[in-house]
Amino acid sequence: MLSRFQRLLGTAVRERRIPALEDLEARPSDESAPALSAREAAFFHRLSGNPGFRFMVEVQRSWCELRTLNAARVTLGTLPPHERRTLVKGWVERGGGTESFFATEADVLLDYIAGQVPAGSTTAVICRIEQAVQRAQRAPAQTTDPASLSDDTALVRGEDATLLRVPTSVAAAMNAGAGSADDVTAARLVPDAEGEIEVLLAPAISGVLREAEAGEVQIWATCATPVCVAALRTAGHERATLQVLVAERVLDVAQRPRSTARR
Amino acid sequence: MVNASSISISGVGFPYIADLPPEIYRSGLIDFVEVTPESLCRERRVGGQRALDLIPSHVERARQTCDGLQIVIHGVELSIGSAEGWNDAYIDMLDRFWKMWPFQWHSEHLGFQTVPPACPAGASTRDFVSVGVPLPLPSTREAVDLVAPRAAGLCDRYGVPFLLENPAHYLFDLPFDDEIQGEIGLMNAIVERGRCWQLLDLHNLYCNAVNFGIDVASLLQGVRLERVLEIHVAGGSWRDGFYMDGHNAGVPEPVWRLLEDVLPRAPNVAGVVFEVLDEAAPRLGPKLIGRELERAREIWHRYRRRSGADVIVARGTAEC
Repeated sequence: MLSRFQRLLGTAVRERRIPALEDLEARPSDESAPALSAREAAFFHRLSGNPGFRFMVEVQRSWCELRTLNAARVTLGTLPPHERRTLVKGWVERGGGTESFFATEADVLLDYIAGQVPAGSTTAVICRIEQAVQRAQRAPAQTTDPASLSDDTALVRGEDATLLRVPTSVAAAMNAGAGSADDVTAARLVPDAEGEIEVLLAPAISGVLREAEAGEVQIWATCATPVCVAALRTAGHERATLQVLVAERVLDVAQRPRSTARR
Repeated sequence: MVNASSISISGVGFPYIADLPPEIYRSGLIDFVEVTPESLCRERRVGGQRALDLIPSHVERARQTCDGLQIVIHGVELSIGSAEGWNDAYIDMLDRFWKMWPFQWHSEHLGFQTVPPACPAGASTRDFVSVGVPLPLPSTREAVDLVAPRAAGLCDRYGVPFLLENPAHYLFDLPFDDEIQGEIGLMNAIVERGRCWQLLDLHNLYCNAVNFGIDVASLLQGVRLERVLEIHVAGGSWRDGFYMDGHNAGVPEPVWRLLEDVLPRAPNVAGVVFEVLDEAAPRLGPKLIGRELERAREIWHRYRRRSGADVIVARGTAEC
């Protein structure tokens, strides 16, 4: 009974609707929906006239909006208030913002925002940066000892690492905001005079992000699939560079297939 | 059975809020700190299951801020009243927290905030969805049977008192069993059977009284004051005709009066905490916070003139 009561009340608040009458009826054959007691059923029958329920729904909505704002704080902060409100309300209407720990939800929320704002806009770029920062920040901190790399160690892009091409105008805006928003603007970027810069984001980079060097961009491109250290060195990359990238978790040691490991 | 005789806290507490200047915690106005460990965590999914990782830098910063003050835990994510399972990830995290930073007691809210996802009849899932706000339990024997063993288990798990907080909510007319009656009866029954203590939130009690049109004194009459180990005071605000437990203002006078009424009659209270919402703290500012803490201290010392040792002995003899 309690289980069904909670499922009905929780769903009513989440979905902002009174349970349908058929939901209140006993279904003796359905173990996942045990019957309500008479008093529990009466509570739901009276719910539509309960101003407290309507207010509870409003409170839930405002909490969800606050969580959504916090989950994409930097990106949403780049938008004018009316656009920000529209996006946040749109997300909450879709059932978002209920999770207290929004890390998992934030990833999907940032995808949603990226799909709603003009491609290539400052907001779209910052959205992808914030998403990459969050992925890097919530990854486990442990790293492979870079000194253990041998020539036949296979390296691949880190699961929680990203390389982004950032327009200088956006980098400049991020620099201007450094110190005011602690996540994305923790590290200052120094863009070239024109064009774009390449930015690496990974769990063990100090401040999570830094500008990438040209050689590192090549390594990133090469390591889309596992590549042995020996092959990377043959291509002209220094072992020390690879060790730094592994230590920062830009690159991870690729897991060998089980059958290979046995041999 | 867990007793409270080993508690060394006696005084006024304040929540750990990372955005506040650490000097507040060293001002001499705070005797202990109430830590919400979830605020020091990030969530991770492991094979479809949730895990809460304590962030070492956040924990270290909190420890530096608390600067040797004793801590108590005030959790918000356990969902102790969820019929189909509480938040295992929270318990796993609290186990780790306990090993690195022991606490004097820990508390949670009496309610639930997760439910099984809507799914076709007969389908099952081990995951839960968050409602988005904590919801109250019906005052039923079934709710007592669910929560009391969980509370008892938490007492045993850490060997320190576990406290349940009476919630503020806006749902009139919740179902009840005749043998339990209302929410006060529900709390009393759980505290009795669960061998735990109550965190009496006076502001929550006040909110419910105001919103439900009940005399707060009559609500208070039913509370088993000898089972209260901690008291919360806080402020709120009005919205759409409801008084909200917003923790976003100073403590209203009626709540201060409740504290003055309760303290002399609650012999085992070890601490009074002035609760403030993280987001509201910078706006309220150190000046207002300091003023409210001073007032809480003044009331505390007026009614708790005995030494800490005396209080501890009294608490030990009033063991559940």
